[in-house]
Amino acid sequence: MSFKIWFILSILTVFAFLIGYLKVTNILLISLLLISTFLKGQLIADYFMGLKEVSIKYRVIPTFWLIVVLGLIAFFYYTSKGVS
Amino acid sequence: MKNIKEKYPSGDFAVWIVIYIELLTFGALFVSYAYSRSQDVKLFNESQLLLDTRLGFINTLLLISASFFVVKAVEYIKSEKSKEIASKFILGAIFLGSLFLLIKISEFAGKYAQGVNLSTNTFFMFYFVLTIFHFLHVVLGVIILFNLYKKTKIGGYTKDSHIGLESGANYWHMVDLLWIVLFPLIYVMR
Repeated sequence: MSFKIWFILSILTVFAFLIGYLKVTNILLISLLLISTFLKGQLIADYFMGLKEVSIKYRVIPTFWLIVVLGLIAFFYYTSKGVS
Repeated sequence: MKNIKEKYPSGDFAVWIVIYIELLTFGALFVSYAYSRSQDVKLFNESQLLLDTRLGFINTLLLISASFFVVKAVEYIKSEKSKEIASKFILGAIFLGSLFLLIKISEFAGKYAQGVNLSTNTFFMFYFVLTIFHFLHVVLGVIILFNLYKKTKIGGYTKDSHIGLESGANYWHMVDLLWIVLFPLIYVMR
């Protein structure tokens, strides 16, 4: 199982790299980047930190953190598009 | 039964308190970066061009792979497989973590040679604060892994007694989790 998680994390990292390397500014791809970052964070919390196997109140803390932080990053990103 | 959930997360609970505090601290810095970027997108996008996305990408793979090795080491100890192999997995994680540090040092040295530093502009102020702060966490993580390696090698962890190993492992995964957000934020989004 841990190898599958590592593989998914690596594939999502390649996706992030390509967006950065190609200097993509497409809003849909940036949205996908943020969603994939959420997925990566959740996979690390659930499977590497083992939170999938514990009480929900501990599992939701990193989930909540990811939603708030990535949500605010997205908010400031989308509201700033007109500035450039 | 495997599907019965544990009440508490693995490892020492004090480490989880540290992890939650670190998440809050870095979270505030990430959001501050995003807000500052929204105030001067042109400056941030132009400054970001000076970063090497390939190095950020390689470093992400190194941390993810190091985390995988740490997971395997814990699995080997918990299932009473070879402690020797478990210690080798930790050694592998130390090697990858050290490579991450070397790449970051070369990146910092490159920026210094270009005359770029903390006071160059707002983007680089955030870049150095976030990455140096994270760098120090990786340094501590590697030191922790080295201590886990020494104890694992002499058979200090068993199937029933491995709380120290899981605590150190969770700290390392937190370092990985933080970089997972830091990489797209600083190196990719524009």
